Amino acid sequence: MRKLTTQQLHQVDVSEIVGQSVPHESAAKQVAGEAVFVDDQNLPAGCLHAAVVTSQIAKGCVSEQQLDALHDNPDVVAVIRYDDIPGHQDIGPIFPGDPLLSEQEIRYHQQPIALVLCHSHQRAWQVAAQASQDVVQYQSQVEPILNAAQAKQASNPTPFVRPAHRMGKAVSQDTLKQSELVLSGEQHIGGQEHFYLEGQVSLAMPSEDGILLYTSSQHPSEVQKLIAEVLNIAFHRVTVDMRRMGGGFGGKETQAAQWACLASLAAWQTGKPVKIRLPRSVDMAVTGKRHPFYNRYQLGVSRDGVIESAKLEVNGLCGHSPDLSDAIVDRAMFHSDNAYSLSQAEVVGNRLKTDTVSHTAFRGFGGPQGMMLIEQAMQDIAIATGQDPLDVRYKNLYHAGNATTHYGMPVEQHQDMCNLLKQLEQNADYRKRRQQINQWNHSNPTIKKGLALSPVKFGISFTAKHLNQAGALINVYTDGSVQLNHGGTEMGQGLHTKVQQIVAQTLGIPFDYVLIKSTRTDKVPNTSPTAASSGSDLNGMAAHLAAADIKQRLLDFAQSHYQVSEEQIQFENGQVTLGENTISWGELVQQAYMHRVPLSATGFYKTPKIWYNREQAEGRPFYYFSLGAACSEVSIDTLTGEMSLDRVDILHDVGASLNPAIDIGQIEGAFIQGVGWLTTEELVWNEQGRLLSQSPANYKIPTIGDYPKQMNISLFDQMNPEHSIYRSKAVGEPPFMLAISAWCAIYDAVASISQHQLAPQLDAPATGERILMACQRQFDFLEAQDA
Amino acid sequence: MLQLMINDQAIALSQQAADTMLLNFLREQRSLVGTKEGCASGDCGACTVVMVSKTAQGKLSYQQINSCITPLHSLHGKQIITVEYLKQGQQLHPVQQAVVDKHGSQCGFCTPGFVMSLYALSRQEQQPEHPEDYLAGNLCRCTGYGPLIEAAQQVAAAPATNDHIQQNEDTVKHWMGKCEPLNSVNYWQPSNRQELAEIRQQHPDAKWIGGGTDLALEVTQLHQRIPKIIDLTALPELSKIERLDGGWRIGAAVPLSDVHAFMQQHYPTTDEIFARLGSITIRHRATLGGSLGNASPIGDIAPLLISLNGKIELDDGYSTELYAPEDYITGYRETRLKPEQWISAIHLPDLDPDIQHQIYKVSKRYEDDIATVVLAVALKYDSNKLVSHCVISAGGVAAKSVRLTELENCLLGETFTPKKLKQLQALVPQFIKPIDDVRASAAYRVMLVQNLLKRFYLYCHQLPTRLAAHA
Ligand SMILES: Cc1cc2nc3c(=O)[nH]c(=O)nc-3n(C[C@H](O)[C@H](O)[C@H](O)COP(=O)(O)OP(=O)(O)OC[C@H]3O[C@@H](n4cnc5c(N)ncnc54)[C@H](O)[C@@H]3O)c2cc1C
Ligand code: FES
Ligand code: FES
Repeated sequence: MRKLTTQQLHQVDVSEIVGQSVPHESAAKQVAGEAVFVDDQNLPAGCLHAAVVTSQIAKGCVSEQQLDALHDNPDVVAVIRYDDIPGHQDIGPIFPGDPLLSEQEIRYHQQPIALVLCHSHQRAWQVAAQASQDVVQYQSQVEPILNAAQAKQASNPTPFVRPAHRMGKAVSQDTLKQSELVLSGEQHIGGQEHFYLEGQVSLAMPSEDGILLYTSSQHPSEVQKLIAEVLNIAFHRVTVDMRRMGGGFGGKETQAAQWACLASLAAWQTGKPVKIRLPRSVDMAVTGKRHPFYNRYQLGVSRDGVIESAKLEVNGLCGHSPDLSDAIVDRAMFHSDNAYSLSQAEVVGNRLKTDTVSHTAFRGFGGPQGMMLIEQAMQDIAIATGQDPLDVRYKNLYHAGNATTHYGMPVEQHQDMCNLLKQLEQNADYRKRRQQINQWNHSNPTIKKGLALSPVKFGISFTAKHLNQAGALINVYTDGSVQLNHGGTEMGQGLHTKVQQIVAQTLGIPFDYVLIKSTRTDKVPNTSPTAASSGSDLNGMAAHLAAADIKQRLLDFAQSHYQVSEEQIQFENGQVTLGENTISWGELVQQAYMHRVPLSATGFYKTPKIWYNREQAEGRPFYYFSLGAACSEVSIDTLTGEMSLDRVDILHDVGASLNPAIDIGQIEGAFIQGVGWLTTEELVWNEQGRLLSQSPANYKIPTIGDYPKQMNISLFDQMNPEHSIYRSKAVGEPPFMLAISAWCAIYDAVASISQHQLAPQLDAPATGERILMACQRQFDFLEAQDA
Repeated sequence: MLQLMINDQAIALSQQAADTMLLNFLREQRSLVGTKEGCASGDCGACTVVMVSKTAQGKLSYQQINSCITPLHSLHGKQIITVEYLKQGQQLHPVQQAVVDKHGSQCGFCTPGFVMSLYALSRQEQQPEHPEDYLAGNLCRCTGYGPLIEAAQQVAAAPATNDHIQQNEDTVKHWMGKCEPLNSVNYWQPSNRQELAEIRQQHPDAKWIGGGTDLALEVTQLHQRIPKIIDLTALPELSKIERLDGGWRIGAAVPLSDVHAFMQQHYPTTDEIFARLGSITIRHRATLGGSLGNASPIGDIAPLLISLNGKIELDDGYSTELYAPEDYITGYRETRLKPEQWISAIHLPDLDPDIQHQIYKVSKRYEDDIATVVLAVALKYDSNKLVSHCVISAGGVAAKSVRLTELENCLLGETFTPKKLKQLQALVPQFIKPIDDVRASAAYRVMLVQNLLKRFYLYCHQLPTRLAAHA
């Protein structure tokens, strides 16, 4: 059963487009199979298909490639290797460390070694798979490092991909001991495969200028730059075109570039169009994932459960190279407080180097892993002090007089956070259900229930300040139709729909007068990735500013041409009121054109207020915080560890919603994706560093049957106090962390076995196996107590 | 000639590789790119299309299938409906409109597959109790499924749409009636045993195929070629369920969706195992013969058969043999099947009403997942409350599906008391030696077998222990 509440106090005027639940801009095309993805494009004549030869060891080197032998195969058109790269051989996005193709050294299992080109996709992958196994010879040197313990071993000469970072002043053991209780705990958190339904794909076309590339990427500008650098040509000779992605979730922020560069390199070398599309199992094996983390806490806590000092350590397992790990581990650190005041806090973040693919952005960008630590701590404090975890959470929330984070940023909406929790507590009938669950657990030896209500406070902005900028281009044609390009990319999140609503609203024209075209580096240059939930905040504002610019020109023109004052002019729903008269938008545009008014404009936006001094670990890295909370109820089977999600109540803050249906879609989708991360989605590497869970047959994302039995989602009715676009808030990532409530509920159910005497040991994902083992420790504890 | 109807176009093909999959054919040879590839392994449903076949009653049945792992030839004489066929002019089909209205598409990559599963749902004469079950074979990473569940409910509430596809049924039936038997040089679909035996003799290197849900993965996942295939689904003996004296004979090529419906009625304790075997989309193609053909140690069917005292019928066109499953399977993916033999049926004796039968499957994900452990128990007491019949079988605990006779012996002739249960559980680690793999550790598997025995014990004593069935 699913219940949605989208109504807001600030009733949206029906004549307004912003705030309406307009369906996704491509919905009608998507359901008809007419929405074109890169792989659906008509193949250009002579197109070649590329496949990668990949390493069968995780660490060592390629002793002999012998790939020349492949030329004897009549199906093979060309083989491309490291030596064929004319420019940069490293495509690391910020720091170096990501070779496009391996020269010799192997840093992870399935690292690309060479590219094979054939006339068909199937043939290319058959040849490449066989070459990886039988043609290339490997020399494996040492056992790969795959977990935190191995990475941190004193004997490891390179434990980190980037130096450690600390926020807050060092907290000593003495400081901790000043509190009545000192608690400690640790957790291993698994990574997560993005499992975008559309795998990585690029189609490169050689042209007289250079390269035109179609791709599925969240960051076309970076792809453009890297291709140019790989080919050693000026950026302006490369154009990247990106219409839509079949899902991204962060997995196409940096990790789409390799395939784009390889296709371009092959097109450059052969003079032919080249397409590369990764088969699912290859995609899963060669692309980075959400970082696994190992976290620890030590807390000084008062007898009634208030944190007085905190010493936190988060360790991200980064894989072989930095990629975006510096910023990801930073974000884990920024969110290790979640919504709670840590008082005196020291947060240390390590970036551990492991011999796997380089882990990367994934919805939440480290934030979820940081939050997991403090949410487990809340459960543990509740157990140690014999309270309901919700009460412990209330006691520790940021509040007046204690509302500054460990990096010195004020939490201005702390009262809203508290109100939101209280409202959800009521909506979800928390106290009554707590009692019912206690009773149930008392009388049921086998099936145990758990309940948890946890908050989310998530900082919005890129922590790299320069990325907080966006551009847009609007062309108005003489029939009044409007074409719009902006720097953001559409991956299903509804960004284009929202921006289209914004532009239509700003110009006072119907939604469908506006057409959003693919994101192209030759339309809007030097764009930031569509990431950090910032897509509509940044691009919506840029597009709004461009539209406002055009509107102002039309206003100026109308005033002089029709001899009316500005107050007498109104743009609404495609009609322009000019005092007594009304003309159509199209007619005004036509007249403006005849009178030589420019009908094209660009818009540019940069986020105000933000700054951060990393040296001092202090500042305001975020423009604002998005808030939310979820209450989850689960049942677990203590014989098997099987779990079911019985009821979920969500209250989430999107400011004044730009589009409630799309926002709810983001909340619901993120929540379920988060539940997958924390329950059934388990990445398994063997000791040789090979990813065993590299197919949907053995890596299990949620299905329709995993949907909660009861799901209630409401929007928190509060405008963004900051001047964001139409006072909305970002929504892409924050609701992902609502799923932590489900993990906490499982934790609660397990702890109920010992009547909440013993804190469980429950790593994530809480698979059936982990739940059962955690239950077993509780039973053993009881047995020891009896004995 | 290979004859197919793709949407409303009847086509005849002469030169196609035996291992060409429908998805590649649609996308690469017919430019029907609305159907997507998300995994090419039957797991995601992005490639879902609807297969239309003629039933014994002469009606047309509409079932969703995974085009990525369905060999083109296996669809000879059938109609395939793709997403492109639903919309009429500018008018979306009601199932498409339902997805738009409920905001059921975000990135849109999974969407055509969901639309086709919804279309199959809309064409069912009897609407299922849980319409969302029709979407169990479709993964969506964006929406979290809420809107799609509502779309399914909307479709199920108003399914009877006399659409253009239904209006065209007479033409389709007429075309089906006129189709010649498949005539191909690399793919055979014989319709009688002798013919089959002869083809086998001529092509000892050809592979058997039932639904292809397993075989196709050799092509799409392991990047191998299969030059020659012999399809067993056109043999009447393999495609029907018959009453025998004291039991049933189920043809080895009956699709599991039909087997499921039959078992629900006659062996109700097996309902859950079939409902969770693959997805509904997989079950429309998968067969019993295919499950036993490769004797996968993690298949659900073998432990089930063992516990029901089933037998496997092998045929070579001249004579048949019957084997107990535990004798038929000899090792890791090894069986007694001789090269000239195929599996023709399974035999199930009627279930003794005094037997308590249960089969449990534990997997990482509840739906559409390979078992970590399957445990089946069949047990009967005599008039003195002593165990007089006991079969315990398991999957996922060894290189093959096994019958745990040592455990059975521990119970036979005894009363099933809490003490006996403890004894039984203590024996488990001696007799199963599972391995650690991607799904679970050996230790967990051992614990599962022990605890599932307890679950069975509690069940026998009327103590409910299961989580309520999933949403
Ligand atoms: C997504 C997905 C999910 C799955 N989930 C499950 C699951 O939950 N539980 C489970 O048990 N299995 C599962 N399977 C495995 C498999 O699909 C099923 O076991 C199915 O029953 C196989 O039947 P088939 O007719 O499709 O086999 P095919 O692919 O046609 O054949 C499989 C093998 O058996 C041989 N063969 C086929 N028919 C015969 C015959 N009559 N005589 C002799 N040999 C024959 C073939 O040559 C081949 O080697 C799953 C598969 C997929 C793709
Ligand atoms: S493509 Fe995933 S099931 Fe066919
Ligand atoms: S809408 Fe993106 S996978 Fe379903």
